Amino acid sequence: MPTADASAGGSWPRSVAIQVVLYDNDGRQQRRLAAGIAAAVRDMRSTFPLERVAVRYGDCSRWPCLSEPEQEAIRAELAGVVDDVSFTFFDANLGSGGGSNALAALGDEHVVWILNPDTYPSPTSARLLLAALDSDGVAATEGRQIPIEHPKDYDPQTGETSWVTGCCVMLRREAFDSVAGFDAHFFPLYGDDVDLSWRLRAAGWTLRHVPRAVIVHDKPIGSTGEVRWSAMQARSSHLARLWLYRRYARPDLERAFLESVDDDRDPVAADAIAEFTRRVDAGDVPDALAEAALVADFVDGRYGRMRFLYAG
Amino acid sequence: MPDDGPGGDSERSLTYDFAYSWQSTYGRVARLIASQVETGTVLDLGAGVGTLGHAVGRYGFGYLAVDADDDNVAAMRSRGREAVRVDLLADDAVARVLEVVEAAETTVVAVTMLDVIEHLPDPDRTMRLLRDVVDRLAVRQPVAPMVLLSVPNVAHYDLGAKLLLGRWDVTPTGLLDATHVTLFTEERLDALMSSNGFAETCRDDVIIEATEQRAPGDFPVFGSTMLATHLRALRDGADPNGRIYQFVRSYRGTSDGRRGEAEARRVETDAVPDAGSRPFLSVVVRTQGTRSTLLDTLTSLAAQHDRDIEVLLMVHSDDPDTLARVDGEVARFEDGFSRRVAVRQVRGGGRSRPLNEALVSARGRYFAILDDDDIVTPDWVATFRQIVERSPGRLVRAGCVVQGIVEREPDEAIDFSVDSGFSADHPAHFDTLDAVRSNRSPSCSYAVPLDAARALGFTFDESLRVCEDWKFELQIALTCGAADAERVTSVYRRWRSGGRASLDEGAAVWIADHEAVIDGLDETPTLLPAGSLRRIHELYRYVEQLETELGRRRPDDGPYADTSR
Repeated sequence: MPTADASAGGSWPRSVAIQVVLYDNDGRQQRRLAAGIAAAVRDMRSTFPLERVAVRYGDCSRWPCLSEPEQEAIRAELAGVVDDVSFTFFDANLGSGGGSNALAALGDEHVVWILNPDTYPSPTSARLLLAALDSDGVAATEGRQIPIEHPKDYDPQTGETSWVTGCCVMLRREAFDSVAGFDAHFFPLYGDDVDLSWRLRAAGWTLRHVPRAVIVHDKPIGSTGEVRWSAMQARSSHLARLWLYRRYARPDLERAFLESVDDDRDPVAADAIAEFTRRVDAGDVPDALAEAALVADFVDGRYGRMRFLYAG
Repeated sequence: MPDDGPGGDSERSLTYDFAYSWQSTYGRVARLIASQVETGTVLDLGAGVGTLGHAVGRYGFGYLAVDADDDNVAAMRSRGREAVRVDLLADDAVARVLEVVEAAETTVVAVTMLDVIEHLPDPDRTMRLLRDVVDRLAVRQPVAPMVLLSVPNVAHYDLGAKLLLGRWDVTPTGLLDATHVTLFTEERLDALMSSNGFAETCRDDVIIEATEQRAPGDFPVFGSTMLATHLRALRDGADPNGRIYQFVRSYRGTSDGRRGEAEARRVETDAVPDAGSRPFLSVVVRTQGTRSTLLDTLTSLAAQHDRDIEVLLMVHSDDPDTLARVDGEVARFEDGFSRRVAVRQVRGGGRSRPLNEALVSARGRYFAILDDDDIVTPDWVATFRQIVERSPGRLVRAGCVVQGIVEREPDEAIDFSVDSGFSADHPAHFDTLDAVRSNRSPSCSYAVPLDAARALGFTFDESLRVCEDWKFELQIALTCGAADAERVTSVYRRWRSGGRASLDEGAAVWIADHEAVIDGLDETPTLLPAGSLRRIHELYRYVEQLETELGRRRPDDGPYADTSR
């Protein structure tokens, strides 16, 4: 198990970077998120005497999605609470993982808190996530999403879990850097968090779910209670699944998946498989991880054991 | 001037020479005075022919009459009354009245103005005069006199019901006396008096069910017709004044005196709140302050796209520490949200009490309810607003899903967790007949028009142990109608262990209160939306078909008859 760098000295962590990767998000939504971040940072700083907290926005849109006045409004929400606010226009769609990596490279804070742009953190969330992270061997802590709580299982006493969702995850930079962050090449949108989590665990770190750290994640609920996926999300998810099977050495699951898809009945999955096949033929595939068997947690076609399932 | 209703005595020569009886206005005024002071003189401004003199004389009070009409003054003097002519609209009216009192060398214990102010185009001016008279008398004698008024009530059911039929029948005397130039409801009278520094001390209003307005003819809004019964129930729900023919009330001057012209004008003109200054939605969150799920509820509210809301966080607990803890939890949120939250302590009562207290203080156009284990999606408020823009004034409802929730062990990372996916246990759309059958809308799934609820006097029934929200929802829906959106915007979390009343209360309580709700609403006729007759028709045909299939009816039998009635 890795040992955190400065925990022994009692002065860890001294700094936190908060990262939001944007893609065509609207200003009002981001101002609301900034207000939520401000309250969460204020509460976190009441417990942790942090020297520095920075908020970094990275924009993957084709054109900057936030106007100057909108950026100013966001700065105003965060003024007096954080030490620095920056906006970076990437001029390229790096994907959520790639954008997060790029933003992380802009600083050297001890802790990186990644928030999706469509989230809203409860005021105690940052403090609770940081407190759970402030322990030897813990690489990442995740909040509990509402209204669609993730059904992934966790240890009811310690919160230890198989993987952490990327929409609201707090990471030790040391751990994040040690595995080179997200793999944006194979996982530009989905599966990047599962992959990062399992590589962290392969490196000896542990991950924790913090159910008291509440995060609103704005996702629609279907009229029959199903969790909705767009075709683009479904395609990305299917492709991510196939790369995960490759990286974590499960050719049996890969084969079963490829054989299960009926091209006529599920054209989205068929499209993902076509992309997968094309790249495999071109040799563009992830290497299998040596520790795959120790960390990969495929259960009934899902990542990790689930406490319950949503329809859809 | 009302004539105390049908049966009141009048003489054509003196329009308002009404006889005294113990239940007349005069008898009531005399009793109100006698209940508060033992001796002294009653100064009667606008005395008419001095009938009050007879009434107060029976209790041993002196009587000093002032009237602007020479004939009335002459008539009173001819009856041996002490009467003086003073025009209350004249500039020197106050001085003249005081001269009359001084000349009489008496202590005035009450100043009356019976059936006067409705005849005046500017009652506020007259009330200022009255206040001036009272204040000046107060410094000349041992005690300040009380003030008594009688004023006809134009919010009587009979007037409103007839107006629905296009009738506004002015009569020689009565509620719509031809000489009335200013019309009063209780609210307007209260505003007039309070703005002039008078506080009500006693009342003995004249109650008349059937007024002179019911003649001639059998109007369908009166009597035992279904329409009358329905309208009557609506009117009685709105406020208790539908049967008051005449307000008969006594007042004392308050020490702060007149509150000033500006406030008086404000009271006159601002009876309807400015819609622009009101939040769209008042959200009442009901909590006992002990459940950590409250953080979920509050965070889901803070994340709303449409934040045109106020949150009334009703902490139903006597414990001051609980209140402080909840207050602290709210204070952690960003100012943009926390300043929209009012934390209120609620003591006593059952599940309805916090809702009723919130109903009184809410300012929103619409009113919605969350329990402290409900959560809403970020478009919850925005969806309600979209429905309201499409169907203003109706109950608005959006989709709601159910999720199981369980308590966790004390040593675990949290004291609760959900344990199921979502189930769509409730219909996606609101259906009135379906809603009458049983509660099909969790309280987190709808919002009601607040002004309608207040105007109709709908509150949460505190006699119910459960189902209070269902009854309230039905009352609104059966009066205002409902509009909906299929989009799911709320999650009703159903406890599988511990939790809210759904499991705490026994099935017998639920059944009993369910039946009580139906029986209570069934006491008066019910409005149903267009298309309901066809639905009922088809339901009867369906019953006939089932009865036939069960062999309890032959196909050629007559129409099915509901024999349960």
